[in-house]
This record gives sequence, C-alpha cells and structure tokens, in this order.
Amino acid sequence: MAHGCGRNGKDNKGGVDEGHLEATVCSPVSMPVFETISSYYRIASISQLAVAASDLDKLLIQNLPPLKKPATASPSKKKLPDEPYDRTAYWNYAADSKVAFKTLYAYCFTFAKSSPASRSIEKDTATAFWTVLLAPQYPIVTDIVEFVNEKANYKGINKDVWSMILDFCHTVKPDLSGYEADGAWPSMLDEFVQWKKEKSA
Amino acid sequence: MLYKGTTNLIIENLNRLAQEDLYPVFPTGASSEPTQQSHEAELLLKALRKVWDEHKSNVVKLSQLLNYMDRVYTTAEGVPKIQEAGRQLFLKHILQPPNAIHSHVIDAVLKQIRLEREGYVINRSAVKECVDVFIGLDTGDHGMSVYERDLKPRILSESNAFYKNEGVILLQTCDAPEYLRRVETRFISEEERTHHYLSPQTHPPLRQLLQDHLLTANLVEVISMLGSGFDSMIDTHKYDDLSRMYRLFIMVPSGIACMKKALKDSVVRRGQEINRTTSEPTAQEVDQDEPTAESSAKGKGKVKARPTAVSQTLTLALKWVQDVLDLKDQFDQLWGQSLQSDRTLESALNDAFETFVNQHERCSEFISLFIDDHLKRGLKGKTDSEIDSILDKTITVFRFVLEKDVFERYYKSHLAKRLLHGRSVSDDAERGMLAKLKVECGYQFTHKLEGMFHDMKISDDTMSSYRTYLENTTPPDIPISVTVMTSSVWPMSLAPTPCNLPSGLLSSCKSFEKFYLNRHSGRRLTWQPSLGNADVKVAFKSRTHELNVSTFALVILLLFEDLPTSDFLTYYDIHEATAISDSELQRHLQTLACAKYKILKKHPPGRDVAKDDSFSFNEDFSAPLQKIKISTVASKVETSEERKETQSHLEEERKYQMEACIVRLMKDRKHMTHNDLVHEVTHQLAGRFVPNPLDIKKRIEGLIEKEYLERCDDRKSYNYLA
Repeated sequence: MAHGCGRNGKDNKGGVDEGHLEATVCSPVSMPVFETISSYYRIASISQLAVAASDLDKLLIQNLPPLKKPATASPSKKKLPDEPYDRTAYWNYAADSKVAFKTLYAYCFTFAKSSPASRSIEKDTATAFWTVLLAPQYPIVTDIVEFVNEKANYKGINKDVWSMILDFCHTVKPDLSGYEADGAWPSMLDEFVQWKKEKSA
Repeated sequence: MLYKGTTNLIIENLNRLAQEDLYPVFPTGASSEPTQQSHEAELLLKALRKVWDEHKSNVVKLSQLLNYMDRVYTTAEGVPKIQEAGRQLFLKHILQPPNAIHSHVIDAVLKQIRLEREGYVINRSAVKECVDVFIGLDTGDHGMSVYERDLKPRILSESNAFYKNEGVILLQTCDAPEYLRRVETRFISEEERTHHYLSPQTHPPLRQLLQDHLLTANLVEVISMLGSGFDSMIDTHKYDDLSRMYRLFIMVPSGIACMKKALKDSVVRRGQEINRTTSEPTAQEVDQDEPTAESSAKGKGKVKARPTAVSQTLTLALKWVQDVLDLKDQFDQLWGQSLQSDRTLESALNDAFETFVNQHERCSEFISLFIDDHLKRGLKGKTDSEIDSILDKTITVFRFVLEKDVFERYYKSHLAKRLLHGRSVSDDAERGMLAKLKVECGYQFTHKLEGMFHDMKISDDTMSSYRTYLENTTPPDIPISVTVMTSSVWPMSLAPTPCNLPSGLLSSCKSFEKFYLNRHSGRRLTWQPSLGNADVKVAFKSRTHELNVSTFALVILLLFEDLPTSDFLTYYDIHEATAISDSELQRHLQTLACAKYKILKKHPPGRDVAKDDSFSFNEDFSAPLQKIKISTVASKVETSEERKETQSHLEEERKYQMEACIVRLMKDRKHMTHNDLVHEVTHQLAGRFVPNPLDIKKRIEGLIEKEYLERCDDRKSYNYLA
C-alpha cells in the first residue's frame, strides 16, 4: 500500500511538474489522490509541495546527484525536524534513480492517455512529454520531436514506440553512433535515423 | 698419389674434350638467320652430350680399374670415390657458372625453346639429350640437379617475359575467338614441350605462367571484346568458341566469375531489349497523350498502363512470353553445349532471367495471358505432348516471377472467364496446367483454382437434378442454366450488379432459387447477370436469326421487343429501364449497335456510345448464318486507376498474409529474434511474393500493439503472448 502510494505520489508529482500541459489531455489529479500524496509526504503547505516537487525534478529529470542523506537517518517514519517534508520515498528513488525514472516514464504513458481504453497517445502530448522528461538528459530527443512534428503520418504514439524511445535514447548517441540498421527498432525510429542522416548529409 | 693422378687425368681429358668438341661449336653470333642459329645451338648441345658420354664411359672404366683404391683408400681419406669425383670434376670444368661452356649451353637450350615457340622446327631429341645431362647431374646440394639449379629458373624467367609480351600482342592483334584459339594452342604445346624434352616437374609453374599472362590478365578484355567477344559469339552461335572460352576460363579462379558476369549482363541486356520492344507500342500511345512524359517513359522502358485495345495487349503479351521463351531456349542450349552444364553459370542465368522478367511490371499478367491464349485457341491441332511442352516452358518463365500472388490474381480471373464462357479448349490441358502450378507453388496456391473447377462440376450435377425437378413441376417459360459459384473462390466481386431483369427471366430465377435453397438451406444466392449469356431468337425483315448475346445485351434487346420498329429509345430510357451501370451499358450498347453485327441502330451513328445517343431496332439486319454469336466488345484493359486499386488490394492481402505468417511462426516458436523472424517470414512467403523487411517490421509492430507479441528486454527478440 505504501509503495503503491509512493508510485502514485511520485508519478503525480511528475504530472504536477508539467502543470503547464493542457489539462484536457491529462487526467487531472483527483482530490483523494492528492490527499494521499500529501499525507504520504507529510506535506501541509504549497511551499512544502514546491520543495518536494523540485527535489524530485532535480533527481529524476535533470539527473543531478541526490541530496545528501542526513547521517542520523531515523528508522522511524517520523518526520525529521530539519526536513521540509518526509523524504523516505525520496531516498528510495535516490537509491536507484534510473529505475525510478523508467517507472516514471512508463507511468506517463498511462497518465497521458486521453481515455483508458485508447492504445496510443496523441502526437502533441507525446512530444510535449518527451521535451520535458527526456530532453534534459538526452539531446537527441529534440531531433526526434522535430522529426515527428515534420512528418504528418504519425498521428499517435503507441505504447511500444513510447517505451522504445527511452531505450533508443539510452543506446543511440546524438551522432547516431550505437544505432544498428538491422536492429529491431520500431520503424518510426528507423525512419527517424534515415531522416536525420539525410538532413545532416 | 694415385688418386690425385687419376683426378688430374680426368681433368686433362675433360679439358681436351672441351677443346676439341665444344669450343669449335660455340655460337658465332655471326648469323641472325633463325634456322642457322637453331643449327648452331643444336651442334653445341650435341657436342655437350658427346663430351658427357665420353667422360662418363672413361670414368666408368677408370673406376672399374681402380676398384681396389676406391675401397681401401678413398673411404679412409674421406675423398669422393672416383665416379663421384668424375662427376664433380665434370661440373667444375664444363658446367659451372664462370665457365663459358655453361652459359653457352644454357643459352642454346633457351634459344631452341624460343625458336620453337616462334614456330620453327628444332631438333627436339638434341635438346632432350642435353637436358637429360642437366637433370642427371647432382649439384651435391640436397640432391638438387643442375637442371633445377641453373636451367629451370632461366626457362621460367624467359617464358615469363615471352608470354607477358605474347599476351599483349595477342590482345592487340587478334579478335576474341582467335585469341582463345591461340591461347589454347599455347597450353597444349607447352605441355608437350615439358613432356618431350623438359622435365615434367616444370609443367605446373609454366602452366601457371600461361594462366597468369594469357588468361587472368586479359579475361575482361577478351570477354568484352567489341564485335567478337562473348556477346557476339552468342549472337553468331559460335558454340565451339564458347566452349573453348569456358575450357580456358575455368582454369583460373577469376575466370568463372568473369564469365558469370558476362553471361548475366548479356542475358539481362537481351531481356531488357525484349521488355523494351514489348512495351513500345504502349509507349507511343503515352507519347500521344502526354508528350512531356515521353522521355521518362521511354527511358525507363516501363510504361504505366494505358487504356489499350485488349488485342494489342494480348499480342504484346504473346510476343513477350514467346521472346522470353526463345531467349531461354537459346541460353539453355548454350549452357548445355558450350558451358558443360556448369552449375555456377546456371545460377547466373537464372539470376539474370529473374532480374529482367521482374523488371517488366506486367510480367505476371502477360504470362497468364499467354497461358490463357493457348488454352483458349492455340492448342487446337496440337498434340498432347506439344501442349505439355508449351505449358512446361511457360512454367519455367513463371518460376522467375517473384510476385506470384499477382500472377495468381490474373490467372484466376482468366480461368474464371474461360470456365464461365466455356472457352477452354481442353479440360485436360486446364487440369494439366493446374497440376503444374500445384507442383510449382504448392497446394495453397491452387486451392481456389481447384475450387472453381469443383464448382463447375457441382453446377453440372445441380443442373441435371434441377431439370428432373422441373419435369415434375410446371417449368418457367424460359429455361435457364445456372452455375453456382462459391463466392470466396471466384474472383468476381460479391456485390450484386444492378440489372432489372424482365419478368420472364425473373420467374426462371425464382424457380431455380426455390429449388436450390430447398436443397441447401441457409445459403444465399446472388445473381451475377454480368457473367451470363443467352440465346435469343430475333425476327428481322429478311429472316429469323438465333443470336447468342450476353445477359445484359438480352435485357437491352427485350426493351425493343414490343416497340414499333420506328420508335427510338434514348440512352437515358434504357438506363432507367435496365439499371445497368453506365460503363457496362455503354459497352453492351456498343456491342449491339457499333460492332460487326448491328442489331440496333444508333442515332447519330458513330463508333462510341455517348449519353445523349438514342437507339432503334435495325430491322434490315441480315447475315448469312442462322446462328450468330455476338461477342461483347472487350472492356478496356485495366486503366491506371484500376491498376492502382488492384495494387492496393494486393497490398492489403499481403499485409494479412504477413501477419498470419508471423503469428503462425511465433505461436510455434514462442520466442524468436527479430532477424530470425524476418528471415523466416521472407522464406515462407517467397513462394508468393518477396516481402520487404520494413513491411514485416511494421506488421510486427502492429501485432505488438494488438498484444499478440511482446518485445523482450534485449530489444532484439519477441515473445508470443498467448
């Protein structure tokens, strides 16, 4: 239960982070969920929320080194006096920020779907997410976004492409080294590579 | 003391012999006449042999005399026995490099060889005897003979220079067949030479020299020689020259590859020529229509389909297939006769045919048309075996076609027409063809075609029981014959063609429907009047004719039945009354009013039917025959729009086939890597068409989205999701 909340909490933080996204696209954070988050992180004020959000942003999105954990880590769940909010979950994520980011990224797909039944998310939403989530760490995403916007034939991004893009960013460098033509990348990414090569040629 | 004396004796003797026999015959160099030179060399070689023989017999005698010394003294002192010493001394005083005799003799041998290569006759035995001396003399260096040490390297380097030059000269002076002839002679004569008067062990290196200089160096030049190379040999059917070329080329490793390339190029070039000539008339038509497209259309040699008269397409198709068959025959003959049925070259041939056949974008259609034509009329008066061989040949061309599903599409529609219109000449030939296709492409391919045959047979049975059934009831006014076609098997569209049948026909249809649905409840019958035909008696002024017309034409004719002869029906009237679609109506009106038999009169007269024309019955019609078969004006061949539609249909079908294939494979294997999967799918579908890896990838992605498959963590393989 606690873990589930944690995921929700963190992931919704992601959502809150991108507060500028069109509200119509993303399911708004419901009140009960919000309350669970607040109690989980022991957040009582907007300023505390802001601190928590910016912590997570720095850790996961900007990939900065985590905050220093206080030496006297309290075993109890009790909030330490010098912490602006309960950072237990934060430390968990900090232990392996890569995995945490992957979970966040995967969650964002579900989060961004316009309806639970749909199999893909709209192009505009996807590119907006990529810009926010991936671009700070992986510069190649900027090119991908440009490519997707330029080509009219990609209307939606399905789950497969969504998750493969993260892998693609991990594997392929901005100069396209690490890409293998006979790999099993989704054809959209093959076409992207083609497009980029032609462009730089 | 005695030993030393003996050796001195031998030396003295040798010097004397050299003085007497060898020095006088040293080449004077005075004459440049080859025969003279040859003679001089011969004398020297003979003299050497004489000296050697004399020396040998002397030494043998001495060694016999001094046998005791050999046993007691020589072994103890560690000096060579007399015989051995004699040999060494001979070497030292006659055949050792600083000695003039040595170099003169070697020069003489080389000169003789060169002279013989240049075509002069020499005394081979003299050379041989001398060479034997060289071979027999051991240099004392690991059993290496003087021949190996001194003569062989010189011969080889001399030959090297000679043939290097020869290669260049031959290339400049001879055409390809002549070149090959000369080269072959060289090979034979060199082999003889080594056999007759040189050591056999010299043969391999010499042969290598020949191969290097006469073959490997000039392969490409010879094969592509303008006006006499490979291509023109084929043109002029010079099978002997070609087999010589094959014999020679196969000796060197790069030769076969070179021939393969030449062969392939030649076939592809010829094939493209055929492609070009058979699309030319269409190209001209395009030119008339769109002059701007001229260059591009001609340049490609492929032309987008244009409405052409069917007959023209047919002639083109027949010509194309016939030409391809002829070409195939020609090259098969060549391959068997001259190329010793070489497997590598056969695959090159097949490759080449595959290349150009598939470059012709209408290859499938043309092959199907060719078969259609032969099964419809071309087989009359031919024996069964002739039919069989024609069809067999067609199959060989068909084998080159990559997009077999396209062929199937055309074949299906051609077969359907043959069956429905009873145009097929021989049922056996039809079935024979089907069997051949089955062998070639498997059960799947002919499944539907067989279904069509099956339907025809069932329909016959149904009709006979329908007639029995009618005997017991009141038959409708118009007897009909029905072919029941399984909709999934026949290529016709399922959608009913609009046509208002007259009441007489309708009641016939109803009667059959009642009968049929009684026997097979739950089935649905859709009438396809567009495919039927009818016999109708028409009373003209002069006499009554029995006309065989299509069902549509019948429906049109019946509109005029009760009309006063002078009355007109406008196009619009007919359209209203029959509800036949515009294109079909125009076609059938054209048949009735503008073709060979003018049953109707068109106002105003003309060749094409326009929407504001009107028609009247042509009472004055007369024809010599009582029964007239009025064949419908053929519809135009596929227009480019139709073609596009066919294409998209095809692509759709291929998508399903790829998906089905992927799912089948994954269900079986549960887990596969991406490359394996693509490879397997390509392999399995190769019998029908060649799938593009990118398309397969897209299908895989589609299946991932539909959650039939999932990606594994390594990103390069997939799991099947049950």
